[in-house]
Amino acid sequence: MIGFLIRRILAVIPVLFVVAFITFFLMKQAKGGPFDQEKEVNPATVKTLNARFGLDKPTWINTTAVSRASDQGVANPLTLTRAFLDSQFGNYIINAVQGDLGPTYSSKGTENVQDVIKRKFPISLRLGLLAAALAVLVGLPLGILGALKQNTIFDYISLIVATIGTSVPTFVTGLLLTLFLSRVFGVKPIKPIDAWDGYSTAYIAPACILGLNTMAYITRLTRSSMLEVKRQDYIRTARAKGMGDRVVITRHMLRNSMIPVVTILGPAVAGLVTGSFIIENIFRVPGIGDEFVGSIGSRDYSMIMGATLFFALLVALGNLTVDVVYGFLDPRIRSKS
Amino acid sequence: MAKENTPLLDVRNLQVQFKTQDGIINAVNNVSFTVNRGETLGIVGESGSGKSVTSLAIMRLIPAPPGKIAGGQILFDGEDLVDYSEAEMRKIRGNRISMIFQDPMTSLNPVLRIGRQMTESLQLHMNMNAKQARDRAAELLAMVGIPAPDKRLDDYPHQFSGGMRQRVMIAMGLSCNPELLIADEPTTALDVTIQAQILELLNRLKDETGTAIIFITHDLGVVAGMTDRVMVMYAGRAVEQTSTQQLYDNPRMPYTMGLLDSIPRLDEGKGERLTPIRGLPPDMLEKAERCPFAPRCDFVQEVCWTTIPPLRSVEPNHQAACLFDITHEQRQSAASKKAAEEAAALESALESVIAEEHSA
Amino acid sequence: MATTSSEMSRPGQPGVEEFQRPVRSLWSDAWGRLRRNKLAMIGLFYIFFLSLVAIAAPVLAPHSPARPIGAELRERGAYRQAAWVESNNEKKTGLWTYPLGTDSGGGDVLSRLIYGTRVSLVVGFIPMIFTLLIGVTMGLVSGYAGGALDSWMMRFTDVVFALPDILFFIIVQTAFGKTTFGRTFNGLLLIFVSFSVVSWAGVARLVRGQVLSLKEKEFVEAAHAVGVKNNKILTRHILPNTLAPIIVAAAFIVPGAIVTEAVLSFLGIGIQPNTSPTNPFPTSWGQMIFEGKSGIDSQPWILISSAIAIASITIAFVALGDGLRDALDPRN
Repeated sequence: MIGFLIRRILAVIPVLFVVAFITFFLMKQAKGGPFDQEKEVNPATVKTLNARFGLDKPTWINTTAVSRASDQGVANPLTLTRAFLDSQFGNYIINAVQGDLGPTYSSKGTENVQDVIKRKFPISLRLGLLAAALAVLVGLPLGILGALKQNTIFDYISLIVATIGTSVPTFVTGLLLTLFLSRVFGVKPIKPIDAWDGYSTAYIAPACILGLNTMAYITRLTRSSMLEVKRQDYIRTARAKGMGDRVVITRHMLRNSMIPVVTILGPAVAGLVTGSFIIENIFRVPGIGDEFVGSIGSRDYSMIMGATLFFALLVALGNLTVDVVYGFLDPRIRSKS
Repeated sequence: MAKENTPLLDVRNLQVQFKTQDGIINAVNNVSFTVNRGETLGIVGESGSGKSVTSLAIMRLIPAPPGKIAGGQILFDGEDLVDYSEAEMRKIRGNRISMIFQDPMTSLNPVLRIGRQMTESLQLHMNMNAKQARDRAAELLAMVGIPAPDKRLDDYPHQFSGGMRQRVMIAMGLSCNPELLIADEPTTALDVTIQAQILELLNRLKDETGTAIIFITHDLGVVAGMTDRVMVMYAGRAVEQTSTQQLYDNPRMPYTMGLLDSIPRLDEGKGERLTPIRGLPPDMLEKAERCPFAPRCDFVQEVCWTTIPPLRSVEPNHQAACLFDITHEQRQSAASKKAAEEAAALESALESVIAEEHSA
Repeated sequence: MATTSSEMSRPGQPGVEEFQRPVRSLWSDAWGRLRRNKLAMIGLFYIFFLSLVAIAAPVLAPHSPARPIGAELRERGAYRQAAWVESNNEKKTGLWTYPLGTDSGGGDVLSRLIYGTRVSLVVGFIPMIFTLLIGVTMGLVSGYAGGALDSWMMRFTDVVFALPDILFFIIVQTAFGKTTFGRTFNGLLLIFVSFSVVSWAGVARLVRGQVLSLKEKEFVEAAHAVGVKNNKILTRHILPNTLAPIIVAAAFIVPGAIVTEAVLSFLGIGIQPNTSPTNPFPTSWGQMIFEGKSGIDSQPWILISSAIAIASITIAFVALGDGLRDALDPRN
């Protein structure tokens, strides 16, 4: 189990590296730098700013630094390698590994990306966790009920909720809800900035909308997986042993049918915590997603890079958690790893 | 409680139907049989002949819908199980009647330890506490020949081989000392050598516990060493019923003869050929009033196409569902005559080809 | 051959042919099951209906979807309400000439909605085809080749699979949105490419799994044994047997792509508005939602109508996908 965990953690590293590489590459393709937007900036200021953020260095590798160093008689391979990597990408990765994601451009270097994440992520995390709680607490029972009471009113309700919830995008439901709330009840779901400290009622509406998709997905998956387990031979065996419905369901069906549900739960929760750009945008939640969307508009590359890496890390952690929980649920996996 | 003069199980005119998109299938049609205490009854038939459905009906485990028991009685110890409520039935299942299924690989819950799966019925039916149930489970595993039973109780099903899993299933089936054990093709999914071991185990346990057994199989060869009496099923109907000895010595239904002639035998002469049953298994949707075996029968007569032959007494303790008194010798001679004809036809065809070759 | 069949049909003594019911293939069987699924059939008809709307948009739309100029604009006014809404401002009161009202530039909402069907269908189907092409090829090759090639391809697939997709689309849009490549077909090409580049990984995994199990099947071994060439085994024996899950996956990729376009347009980085009256893709529903959000109080019908349009098309595809999965899965 320990070896398995270590292998899985190590497998995250190349994924993060590739994500960083692709993002960096794509960012470099974009026309215009972060400081081109303000028209009144004079070229000298841009030059100093570029130098300060290391944007005057080569993009990928720094061969000039290597040749300069070797001309000066440096032979230490470590120093040479460091000089070789004294590029925009190289420095970025080296700093990122140490937890430094660099200064944001939009703050003109007064605030680091990791500080922005530290400041804004708790809001997104609260929103995501509330949404996830809602998704699991409603989705699971609805799916189980749908499967057990097949072809009854419960089944139809769970099926309709699941179909609509999975297919209608959250921003559509979110916008329609804000419209509905403001038209019918005169409620403005958009709350002031200070409403988002700690858990507050401000989170209810966005969390409901954010959780809707995942809830519907969990309902569908639970329902189909329960139906699948229901026709397995070992369920017939349990019934043939004289086990009652309650025991058959709780002891024999639930754990088996949870296996596929758990598989999606990790990435789903990671997605809820990170993927709320749209919801945060609609409800003006000052979270990390909102920050990310803002940084696209202002071409704040270090923020975009930092947020992307952070999101990729969260998704990877979500998947890792799934692998571990999976092992607990399914003894066949446990013994294989 | 036990009434010695009545049979343990008395199934009368059992009728089981399944609804499908193509219409209603009569999976079991008017089947009657009895099982006495301590007796072993074999039910033999091809897949789809209704033998498994019959056993599930006794357990009242027919998946409904689409299936349902459409008629008849299942008298167990004098009481009709068809009238039992689900709660009453649960007290019977696993306790007084238990069942072993065909595929041991899928019949055990993959996420529960063997010990848990064995003790749950002991705790439910025998009112044992966890400790007693565990000790009994270990005892049962030892009884079916699983080494280090105390340790194996903590293993999961995937840590057992197929034969071992079937032993676990048998131990589970016998755990509450049932009066009747239904074994639904318990050896079909296993290797031949393992099959023999499991059969031997069942035979031994039958003698030790005195449990009555319904042994369901498609293999007449397996029946020989296992059962006291045999019922042959075809297309949802019982077509022959007698003692195992009689069935081998004097089969009276052409289908049974066909089954017997399909078994390769080492003691037959070199020239003998296997004479299998021609044609395909019956279409269960077919509603025609005729002998279900007629299209495949070597002795089919005009009347066979218009009458469903009832199960009639052909000699003491021997019923067969054939309108005529056909004997095994007749089928064998007919078959060998036919084989000779075919051989002759082939030869003449070959000759004409050779002649053509020569003339060309 | 002739003698056998005449023997079989001897009168009065029916032979083997009596057991034969009309043979139903997997596909006609599946179609039969699909036809009984009401939700899926409604979805199918709705998609068919939308396709007709998309093709006949110029005929159906009461006005040009482009923004009007001069006299026409003066007549419409900005932000005219939906036809049944009264307003204090005479210029904003609804007119039945513009059933769903007009947008801030005076464009007719209904006409834009009708033209928007085109983008949603194109953006749903074309990336689906690309995604399948890449995914099926990768899955087939990887699964059939096995060994080192398989393990490297799958490692690559895993990385692509782990990319946070919406993030990736956003970054690609930021990077290429302003380039010539990004402007082709109003930015549709960029959406096609970026969507397909990420989404194939799921299909590749699915197909590979299928191929791995099919490879062990007897009929493939039999084909090998009689000397059928590898590419023929792949195309004749393996591909047709993976078709059912691929079709189901395709039915779910389409709504995914439609939603992606809508989300990007909603964030203001999706398809780029084109004012030329002859452009076949002048507007999209996502764009209308984007505009409708800012005009949520003054003209809610831009938002409501486009939101309903997107919701209903995705529901239709998901319902069809569900129906297909149930119909093609013989276990049910």
